[in-house]
Order: sequence, then C-alpha cells, then structure tokens
Amino acid sequence: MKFEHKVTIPASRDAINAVLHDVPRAARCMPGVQEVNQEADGSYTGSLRIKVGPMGFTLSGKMLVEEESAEGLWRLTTEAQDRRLGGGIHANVEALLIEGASGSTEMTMSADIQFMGRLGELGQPLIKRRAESMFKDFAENLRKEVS
Amino acid sequence: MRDFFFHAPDNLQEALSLLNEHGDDARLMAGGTAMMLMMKQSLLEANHVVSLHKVPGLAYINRDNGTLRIGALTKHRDVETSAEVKATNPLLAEVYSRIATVRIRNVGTVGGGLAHSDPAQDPQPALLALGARVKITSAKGEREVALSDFLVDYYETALEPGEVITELIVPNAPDGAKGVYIKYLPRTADDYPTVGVAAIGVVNGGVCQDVRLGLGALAPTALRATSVEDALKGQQVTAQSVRQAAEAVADLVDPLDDPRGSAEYKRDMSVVFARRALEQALGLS
Repeated sequence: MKFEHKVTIPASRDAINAVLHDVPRAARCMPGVQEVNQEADGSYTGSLRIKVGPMGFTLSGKMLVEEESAEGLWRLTTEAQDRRLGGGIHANVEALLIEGASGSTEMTMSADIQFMGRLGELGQPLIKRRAESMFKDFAENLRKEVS
Repeated sequence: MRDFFFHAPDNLQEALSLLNEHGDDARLMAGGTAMMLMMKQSLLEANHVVSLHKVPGLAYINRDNGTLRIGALTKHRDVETSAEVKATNPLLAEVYSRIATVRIRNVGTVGGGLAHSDPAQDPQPALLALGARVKITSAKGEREVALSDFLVDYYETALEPGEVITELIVPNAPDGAKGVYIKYLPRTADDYPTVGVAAIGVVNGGVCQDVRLGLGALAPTALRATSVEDALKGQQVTAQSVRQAAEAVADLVDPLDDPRGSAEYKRDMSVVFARRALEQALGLS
C-alpha cells in the first residue's frame, strides 16, 4: 500500500525540522498515538490505536529515524504488531520539505506500508482507508503545531 | 475469545440502564450473527454483552398509513416471508431474502443488521431507495433518523452511546413502481455482494415519472445515487438515456480492494449493474 500527501505549512523549513526532530512532540500530531519513548539505541517505541467503527487495532512497535537532513529530507521505518489480532505492519515513511518564496514550506509525505498476518487478512482494507486519512490529519496537526 | 459478562435484561429500560452503566465497555447484541464472529476474530472486544433476546415487544411488522413499521428484533426471515411485506413492499421481502443463508436469516435481526453497518449488506440499497427511517430509543426519549443520515462510515452509524434501534420505518414504493435488486457475487450465493444495486422505477407513456437508485458495497456506506435519478426523471426512457445515466455512477462510488474484487473492477461493475437494474426497473428488459 502506497500513498502520498502534500500540505503547505506557513512556517520555515527550519521551524518544521525542529518539531520533527522532537519525535515525541511530532508523534503527538498523529491521531491515535498513545505513547512514544526513546530507547538507548536511539530508536523509539510506542503504540498507535486505530479505530474503525466498533473495532480497534492497537499497533505496538519500534520506529527508527533512518535519515534526517537539514535540507528537509526525513526517512523512517516502523515495525509494529497487533498482538491481540496477530500480524502487523512494516512501513517506510518519507517526508520532504521544500521551502517556498513566501516563507511557507511544502511538505510531501509518502508512505509504503506492508501488512502481515491476520491483521492483513482481516483489517487491511479498512486500515488502508483509515491510514490515508490519519496521515492527512498528521500533516494538518503538524501545520497547527508549527504555525 | 476473551471472557465477558453476559446480561439478559427482561425489558428495554433495563437494557438502557445497563448500557449507561457500562458505557464503552458494553456492546448491545440482537441476533449476534455478525457480532459473535467479530468477537471470535478478536476484531471486537467487550467486557459486557447486553443481549436483547428477552426484551419483549420489539418483533413485529405493522402496516401504518403507507409505511411498514418493523420492530428492531424482527428476524430477517420474518420480513422475507411476511405476507404483509410481500403484498405492500415486495422489493423489501426480496432484499431480506438475499441475506446470507436461511440459518442466518432465522437468527439475524433487522435492527442488528442496521447497527452493524457493513456497506455490503443486502437490504440497505433498497431501504435507501425507499426512503427508510430508523427509530432510536434512549433513556432521554425517542428520535427518528433518515437511513441516509444514520449510515455514517464503515461500521459506523449515527447511534450515540446509550441508544438502541427500536424500529425501522419503510415507506411503500410509489404506486405503479417496479422494484429490482441485483446482487452481483462471483463467489458463493450466501456471500456479501461485489456490487449490490436496487432500483425502483415508475414509467408512464414512455416517460420516467420516478426513479430511485441505491448502491451497496461501493463506498464507506450504501448510498443513493440521486444525481443519476435526477438525470432520468421526466425524460423519455430509452436504452441510450439509461446507459448514459448509469455511466455517471462510476463517479459516485469509492470502493475498497478486497477479496470480492479490486476497487477498479467494482467501479466498472457498478456501471454495468446500475444500468441493468435501471433497465429492469424502467421496463426496458
């Protein structure tokens, strides 16, 4: 599953980079994030709750920032499992920040998510749809956080 | 499946009290055909299940001034076989007869089906086309909601915490109308459809007097294609006008990829089966 979302944020690239660098703060912009903790190896652990009607999926796992550049390119990978249902996801996420002339910055977020196990079998079609809206909400919340 | 407390209240007031007492921890159960599967698959969890099976007075089919009032605990099978429904609203009997298998229809209830709100359920396209409404009861009183407003998203309805569906109100089709439900399912006959289309048409002197089109399995909820209806109303009914109107369905739908077909395939099939249903309802085939 791949998707891309663009949002224009009325702030400089440096200001957005500063929020993204504070991973727990940036993570709070993602709807459903319940906790994020930094580990000794530099990775982050946490959990994400996704609700679809009466159904709930809780993904717990690890996130690693693979690349973080002052030029505004972010790459991160995530592996998370839903222990109750069985199965999980592996996600590669990229964010590219391009500063415009008017002091605003265009952020392009792209994600490639693979589903595994029973989560893929039972929840994939529903989570796919919800994931796209969650990334849109994240971008919007980040815009509010920085503005 | 995780352990849970099972409550079997003797009346609706007691059921409402239990819902209010346990809040998010409680799930209401009518027939339980969908809910028990979801709980066994760990898709749904509840510490308290409040069963309505002992609650009296919610299983009935009454005729009331051009409408049918169907109690929420009426079984699908009872709608399907009711002489009253067959006589006044045969499309309704037809769509309830297409749900899953006879064993499920003998257990599943009208209200439970509405609360489940899977976009691929069989009755919803016809219920939307007929302008059905849902009566909801809570400790605060009663309210009625149009089905089109009741269906909110995948498995989401307008039900608020502490509310129970108590009745489905279905207006009769217009006089002289022909109703059609096409369930396109390439797998087994008891499956959910890949595409479900209900159409109702009234034609007089070759002119479309009224037409309604409901679509299932093609968006986060079943939906009514009012723009397609508007394009046909008052127009001469021809194969070309129907074909042209049906093509607009592709822009209204937003299906999911799933084992019943890709989103692209379902979009293509939505046009084909909307056209066929309209042709039948408007007397072209």
